[in-house]
Amino acid sequence: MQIVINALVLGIMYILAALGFAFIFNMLGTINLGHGALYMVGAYLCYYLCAAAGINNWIAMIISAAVLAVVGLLLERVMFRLFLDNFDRIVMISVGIITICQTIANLLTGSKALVIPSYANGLTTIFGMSISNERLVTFGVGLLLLLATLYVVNYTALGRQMEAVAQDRLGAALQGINTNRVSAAVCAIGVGLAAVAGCFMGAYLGLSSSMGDTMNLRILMLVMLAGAGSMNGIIITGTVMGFLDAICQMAFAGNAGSAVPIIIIVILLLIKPKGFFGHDA
Amino acid sequence: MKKLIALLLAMAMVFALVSCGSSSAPASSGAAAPAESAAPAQDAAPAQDAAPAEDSAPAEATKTDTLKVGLMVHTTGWFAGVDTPNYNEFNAMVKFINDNGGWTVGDTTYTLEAVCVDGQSDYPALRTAAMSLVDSGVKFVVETNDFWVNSCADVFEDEGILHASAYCVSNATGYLIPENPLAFTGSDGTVGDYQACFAALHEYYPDVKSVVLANDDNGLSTESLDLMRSYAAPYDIEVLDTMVIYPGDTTDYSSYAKQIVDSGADAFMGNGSPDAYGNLLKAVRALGADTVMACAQGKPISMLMEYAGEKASYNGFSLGTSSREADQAKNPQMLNDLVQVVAQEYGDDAAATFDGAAANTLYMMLLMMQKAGSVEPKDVAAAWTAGGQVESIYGTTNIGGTETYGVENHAIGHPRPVSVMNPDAEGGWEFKDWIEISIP
Repeated sequence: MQIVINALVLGIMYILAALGFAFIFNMLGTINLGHGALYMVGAYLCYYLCAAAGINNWIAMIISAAVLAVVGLLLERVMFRLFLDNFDRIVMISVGIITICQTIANLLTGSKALVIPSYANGLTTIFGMSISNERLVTFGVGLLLLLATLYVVNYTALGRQMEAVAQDRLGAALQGINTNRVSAAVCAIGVGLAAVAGCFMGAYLGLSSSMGDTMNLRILMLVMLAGAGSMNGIIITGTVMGFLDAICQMAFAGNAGSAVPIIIIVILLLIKPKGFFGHDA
Repeated sequence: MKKLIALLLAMAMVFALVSCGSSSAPASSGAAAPAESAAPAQDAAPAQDAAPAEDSAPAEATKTDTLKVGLMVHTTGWFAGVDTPNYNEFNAMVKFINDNGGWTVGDTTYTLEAVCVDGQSDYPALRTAAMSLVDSGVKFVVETNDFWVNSCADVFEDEGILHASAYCVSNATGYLIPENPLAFTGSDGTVGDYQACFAALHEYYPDVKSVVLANDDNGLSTESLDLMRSYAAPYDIEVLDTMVIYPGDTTDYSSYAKQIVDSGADAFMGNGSPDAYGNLLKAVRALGADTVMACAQGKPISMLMEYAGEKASYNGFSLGTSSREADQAKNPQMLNDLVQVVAQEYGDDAAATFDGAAANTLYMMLLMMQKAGSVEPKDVAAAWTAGGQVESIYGTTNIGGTETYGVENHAIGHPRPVSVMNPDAEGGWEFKDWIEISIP
C-alpha cells in the first residue's frame, strides 16, 4: 500500500512536469531540453518569494507559475518560433538555458539549504498507515491540475486546436487556426505546469541547481514511452513510471534502483519504437 | 531581428560557459581573488593561534616569496552544493594566513597565492582542471572528494605534485593506495566520522543497540561493513547486515525510509549530504517512526533540519560545527577565527554552514612544510608519513590511516563535535562536546 501511495505521488509529479514538455514536443516537433531547468527556476522563484518577500507559499506558487508562463511565452517567441525547423539550434540553445539557469542558481544559493515552506504539516492515518499531509496535498493538487489540463485538451476549442496543430501544423493553419497563438498558449501552460511541479518538489525535497536534470531524464523517457502526439498517454505512462520507480527503489540497491526502470523503458521502446499511444506525426 | 536575437542568445551562452569554466569566484562568493596583495612580513610567525608542527618551529625568516597552492573542487554542477563551502573555506584560510603575515618555512616567509579550478561536477572536466593546475605551476593541491579525484590522481603523481583530498568517503575507492605516494587526506573522512557517530550514539542515545547503515552508492560499500562493525563493537551496538543504499539522484526517499523502518534498527547511520539525510529523516518520520538518525557528516545540523522540517527534527544528530556565539567557547580558537573570516568574505550564511575540510587540508599541508623545513612535495610527503600529532583547526590531530587505507600515515584523525537535535533548545539543537578520533 505504501508503494502504491509513493507511486501515485511520484507519478503525478512526473506527469505535471512532463505535460509541458510533451505539449512543446507535440506542437512544435522539437525537444526542449531546458524544460527541467525551467522546472528548477519555478521552484527557486517560489522559494525567494516566500523567503525574501514573505509571501504565503501558495500565493508564491501561483506567482511563480504565472511568471514562468510568461517565460514560456517569451521562449516560444524568441526560440521555438524562430528556429522551428532547426533542431540542432534549439538543442544548443536549450543546453545554454540549462547552463545559464544552473549557474545563476549556484551563484544565488551557494551552500545554503533552501526548502520551500511545507504546503501541509502533520500525518494522516489511512488504513492503518501513516502518510504525510504534504504528500496528500501534493497528490490532490496535482490531480486537480491534471484533470483541468485534460479538460482543456479534450473539451475546449484550444484543446481541439492543439490536437490539430500536433497532427498537421500546415493543415491546421490552412483551416484558419492561428498556429503561433496555439503554440504560445501551449508553451505558457507547459512551462507554468513545470513551475508548479517544481514548487511542490521544492517543498518536499528541497532545492538544488541540478534538480531539473533528474526530472529531465524522467520526462524524456515518459514522453517517448507515451509516443508523439499523445497527451492522454502521458497520464498512463507517468503513472507507470511512478510505479516503476517506487518498486525498483524497494527492490534494487543504490543506482541500480534508478537504472533498472530506464532499462525496462528502453526494452519497451524496442518493442514499441513509436511509444504506446503515439501517432505517426 | 532574428539575427539580433540569435546573437544575444549566443552571448548569453558564452557568458554562462565562461562563468562555468573559469577559476574565479563561484557560488555565494563576494570576493575570491587570490590573496596576492598582502605583503609578507619579515618576522612572520605562522597563523596566530595555530601551533607549528612539533619537529621544527619556524626559524627567523630572512627571505620572502610566493607559494602557489591549488584548489580543485566543483563550483558548478550538481556537486557544487558540497564543494562551495570547500572553496570558500580554502580561500578564507589563505586570507587568514596572509593577513597574519604569511607562512614561514625554514628561512622564508611565503605569501600564499590560491589557484582555484572548477571540476564542473564532471569527470573529464575535472581531469582538464587538474592539467590546468599542472600548467599553472602549483606543487600542492587540495582537491575534492576521493571518488572524484582518483580519476585524475595520475596527473598529479606524474608531475610530482602533492595532492590531498578534503574528504575520503571510503577506504576502498582506490585513492589512498601505494601507487599514489603523493596522495593524502586532510580530514577524518567517512571512517573517522563513523567512529565519531558510534561514540556519539553511545553517549547521547544509550538505548540504541542496533544500527542500519543508509547511504548513497558513493559513501558506503559492503567492503566497509567489517570496519564499521569494529567501530561499533566497543559500544555493544550491532550493525545490521542489511544496508539501505539509495541512488545519488533520488527524487523520493519514501521507499528508502520504509526499508529503514522495516529493518527494525534503533538507528540509521550514514554520511549522506544534508539534503539527502534531511529528506530521509523527514520520510522516516512520515511513516510514524521515531528511529534515531546519526548523520556522519561535518555539515551543521541546522542545514539538515532545514530539509527535514521542524516536525521531523528530533532524535538525531550530525557532526557539524557551530558558529553560534554561545557555542564558540567549545571550539578551538583557530576554528572560530576562520569562521569569522568566512563570514567577512562570504557572508553569515557561509559561516553558518562551516565544515572546514578543505581549509584544514591546506593547513595540514602547510604544517607538514614546516615540519619538513621544505616546500618540495617529496620532502613534505615524507614529513607527513613520519606520523605524529599536530594542532589542526579542529584541535589535536593524529596522523594515521596505515591499517585502514593500507598506506602508511597518509590520513589524519581529528576531533569532531556533535550537534544534537533538541526541539526545546535554542534553534532546535544543542552543541555538544568534541569527540577525539584516530584513524588506525
